[in-house]
Amino acid sequence: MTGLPSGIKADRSLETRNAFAVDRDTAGSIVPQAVLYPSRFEDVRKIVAWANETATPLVPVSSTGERRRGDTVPMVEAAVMVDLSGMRRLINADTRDKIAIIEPGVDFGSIDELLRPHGLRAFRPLMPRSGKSVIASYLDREPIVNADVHWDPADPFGGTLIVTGGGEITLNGSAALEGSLTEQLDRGHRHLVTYGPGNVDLTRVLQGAQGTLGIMGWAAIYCERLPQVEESIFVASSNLATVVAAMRDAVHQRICTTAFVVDNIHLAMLLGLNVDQANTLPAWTFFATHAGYVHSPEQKVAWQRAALEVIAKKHGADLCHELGGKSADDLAVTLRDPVPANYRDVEFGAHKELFFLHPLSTAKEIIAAQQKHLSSSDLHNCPVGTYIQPLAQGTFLHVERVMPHAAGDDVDAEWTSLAQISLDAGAYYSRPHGVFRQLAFSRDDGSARRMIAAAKTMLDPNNIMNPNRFDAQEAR
Amino acid sequence: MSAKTDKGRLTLDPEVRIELENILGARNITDDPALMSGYAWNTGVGKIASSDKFAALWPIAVALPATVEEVAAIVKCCKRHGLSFRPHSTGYGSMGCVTSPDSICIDLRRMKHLEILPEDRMAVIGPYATANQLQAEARKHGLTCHVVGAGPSHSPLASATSLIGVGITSQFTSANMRNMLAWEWVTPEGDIIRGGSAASGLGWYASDGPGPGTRGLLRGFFGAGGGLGVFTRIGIKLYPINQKGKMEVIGKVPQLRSKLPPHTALLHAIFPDYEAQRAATFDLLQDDVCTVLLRMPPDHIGWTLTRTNAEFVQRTKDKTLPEPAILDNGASWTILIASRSEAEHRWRSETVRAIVASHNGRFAEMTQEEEEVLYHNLATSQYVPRVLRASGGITTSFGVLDSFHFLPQAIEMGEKVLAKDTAPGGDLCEGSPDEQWIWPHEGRYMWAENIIHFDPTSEASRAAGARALLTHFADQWKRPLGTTGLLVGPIQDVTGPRIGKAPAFARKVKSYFDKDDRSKTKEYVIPNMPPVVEKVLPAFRPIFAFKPVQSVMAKILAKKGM
Repeated sequence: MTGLPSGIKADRSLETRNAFAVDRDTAGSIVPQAVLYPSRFEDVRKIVAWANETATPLVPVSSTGERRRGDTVPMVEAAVMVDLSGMRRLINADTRDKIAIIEPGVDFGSIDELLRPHGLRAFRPLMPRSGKSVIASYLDREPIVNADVHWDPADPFGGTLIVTGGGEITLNGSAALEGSLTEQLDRGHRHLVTYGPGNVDLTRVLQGAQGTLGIMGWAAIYCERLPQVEESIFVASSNLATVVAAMRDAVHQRICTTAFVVDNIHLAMLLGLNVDQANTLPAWTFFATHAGYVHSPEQKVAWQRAALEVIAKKHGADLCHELGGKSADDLAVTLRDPVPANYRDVEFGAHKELFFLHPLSTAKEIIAAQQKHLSSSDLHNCPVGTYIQPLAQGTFLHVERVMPHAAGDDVDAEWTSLAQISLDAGAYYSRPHGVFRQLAFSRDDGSARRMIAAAKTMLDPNNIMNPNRFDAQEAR
Repeated sequence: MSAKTDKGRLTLDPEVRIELENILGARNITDDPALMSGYAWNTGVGKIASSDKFAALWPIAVALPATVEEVAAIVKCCKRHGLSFRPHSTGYGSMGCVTSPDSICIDLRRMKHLEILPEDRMAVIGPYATANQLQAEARKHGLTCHVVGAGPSHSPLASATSLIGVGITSQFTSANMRNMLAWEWVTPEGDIIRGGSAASGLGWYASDGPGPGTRGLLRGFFGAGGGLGVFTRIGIKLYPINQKGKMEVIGKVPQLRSKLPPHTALLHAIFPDYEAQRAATFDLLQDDVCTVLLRMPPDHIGWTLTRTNAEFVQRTKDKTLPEPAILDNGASWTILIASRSEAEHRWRSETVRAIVASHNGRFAEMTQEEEEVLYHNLATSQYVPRVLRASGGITTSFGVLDSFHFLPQAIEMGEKVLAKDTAPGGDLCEGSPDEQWIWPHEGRYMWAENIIHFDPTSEASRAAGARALLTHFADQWKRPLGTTGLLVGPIQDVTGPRIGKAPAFARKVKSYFDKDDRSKTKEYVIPNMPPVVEKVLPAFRPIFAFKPVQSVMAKILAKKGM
């Protein structure tokens, strides 16, 4: 066993190590040799330097609680876990610029409490579990529900600090300035820009890399002002095309802070209903929230609601304040209420997930292709929910299919088949996880593999960061 | 390729010509000096020009591919024969000129693909689709594109993939490095690589993945400026607007104007000082109240609202310029509010008026015609030709990207740098030292760039322009206003710690994809710099910041050009 770097808390107990050999989706067989717990960025830098000297593979992990998707399970022997969950500081928050700087251990369970005194709250994905690291979520390009301010997949990152696999410390975006972070903040810099400096954008490169290129030490993240007035509503229809069209118009007009579409099964899960009760809900629902932050908030929300009413009427959708015994405003609160469990597991204990990107204009077609397959497969009696999240202000969609099931059910083969059918129908698996980890590259013309190899060569030349996660990473 | 012309320029080897003709057809390759002169035009736009009408370096030949495969074949041909190349899109200013004597110019004008996908609020474009064409097509669907500061003749593909990409409407149209979706690229070795969803043959909508966002290796803030192969197609995001169809144009050049659509207002708010403007800005950026915010120097507004330089000078003397063009009114915002309903418009208008009033601001009085001229220029980003009118030579500096906290300091530092040489008897274009253009991005942060006007026909004026440029960098080193976006080439390496490891990583990218440096430009990084030099260069900052040294460097730049 390799000697571990000194001065950093470590755990070599079999119980702890075994816990990192698997996750909820991954029956891994490789037990890491130790878990290191850095408490500050200097520790991280030291760990990466040590790993390069000793050729020790590192697997970073920031979230706590039940992990999934396999990206924090070692794929090589003798790996050391770098558990960043103890780095939980809110370094700075600025109401005026609507930005905060956080460490990787800050999770969705704590961030809004940290930000509240500053009149801010975090942008978040759909009902993240409380132990999910905010930075890890953004690094994985998990979609935030705030389509209005999702300009680009790099959002909501501002400037960042990264230590690359090669041990180089990089200040990225407008964080690339002289002086310590404290000195920068004292001068008034707020690290509001993610791209650059010069002609590289290493934050973007690290996004989606699943811990294979480096470790983020802190990040400036865009935040939302706490609204003075917030109103939510359901826009419902039996027709998917209708709600997608309504959502498209609303997002393009930028009248909603939260905007997504779900089918009745997914809505039942969000509302805390049993799947059996999904039949009482509309087939498709567009959930919309209007928010007034500072200036005449009631008037702002009023004209936005009026605009949404026009849109709903135009497309023939129904506006409802309440569905399944729960109001839209209650659901908005639930969406921000951190709970330890994944809401998709609540009823049956487990779930399968499949998510991909797709153009908004052909969402109906790909869902239809999936439904056709599901209806003729062994899953035809299983509940499969749908969540559609507009991204880049409605330029394209995150489409997510979720099947809650009992923990012991063996549905892998059928779920893989659905993934393949989806790929054939045009699903773009931009975040390769689970059953679509390999499928994501099956249509690649060679470009993605070559670019991943390039990134790996430049950022992690000794291949210490989460080796073997991508097949392409050692190729050139 | 060894032969030279009577002007000492390299000539095209017959063997290379045959290969290129086989790739492109004879009519799409030329080394005719009469045609090539158009690719060596020394305009000085965005750069300090030399004294000659033409650039010192001319391409050996100009190749006109029509497809990505042809581009790849040209690049491979260059590699086989030890030639360099420089891609050329719409050729704005001198930015597309070759920078080495062994370069072939790859003119992409035949690659003008333009396809609007209105439901997905995006377009798919080639390098020769201009912003003007893209905007005109997008407007048919109630959409617009981001038009960078260079104006409607620029290539959105070039600005998204390779050069800066900011523009005056960035408050609601972001910037082109963030508007770029999937991409297609010919590497400096001649390989075709696609990024995002295009790599999987699934369309042009998604920029990143599968897995890492490797686009970040190729495109940061500034862009590689043609130093990293050739980008041939991208998806680009469009922005919904409150008007569908053709933009009606009234009047005659140069005073073209457009009527404001329904539920649209153009206001010009004037504040007592820059601190008040800053405080108001933070309020104006909450709740997405304004569609566009633009701070132009009063002189520049004056040049836009007058037909000729003579009229501008006369009206300055007569004190008849409109309020926004009066120097004392520099602490100001031109504000565009574009709404879709009466209720929305009432909320936006009343909110803006309340915010301006609460910071002791007021609104300038303008005639309808003046409003319409400003609106037309704002919507189409026609300002650069208007601003160029004063002297014919401009370059730009700073590129501050940070909080609006720095707005007053940016104005102060910019004026200080230009004060001496814009005063009567100075070497720059005479006028106000206030040349700072400022606008917000996406409701969050400030972009500030300080324009430098010089007389391109005067060596002393060009030297003053170069000196001012160097002083901007030196001043930023001493007292940072935020990231200096307009850092490029060797100045990145001298800047050193302020730009983190960016130049070193860009050099790694360059070495990885272009180890022989065939894709030549001055706008990227110095390739193959020894690590020891990379480490030592920042230590020379005090020398580069030393006024006499700057003067010598400026004189050299004025003589040789940038």
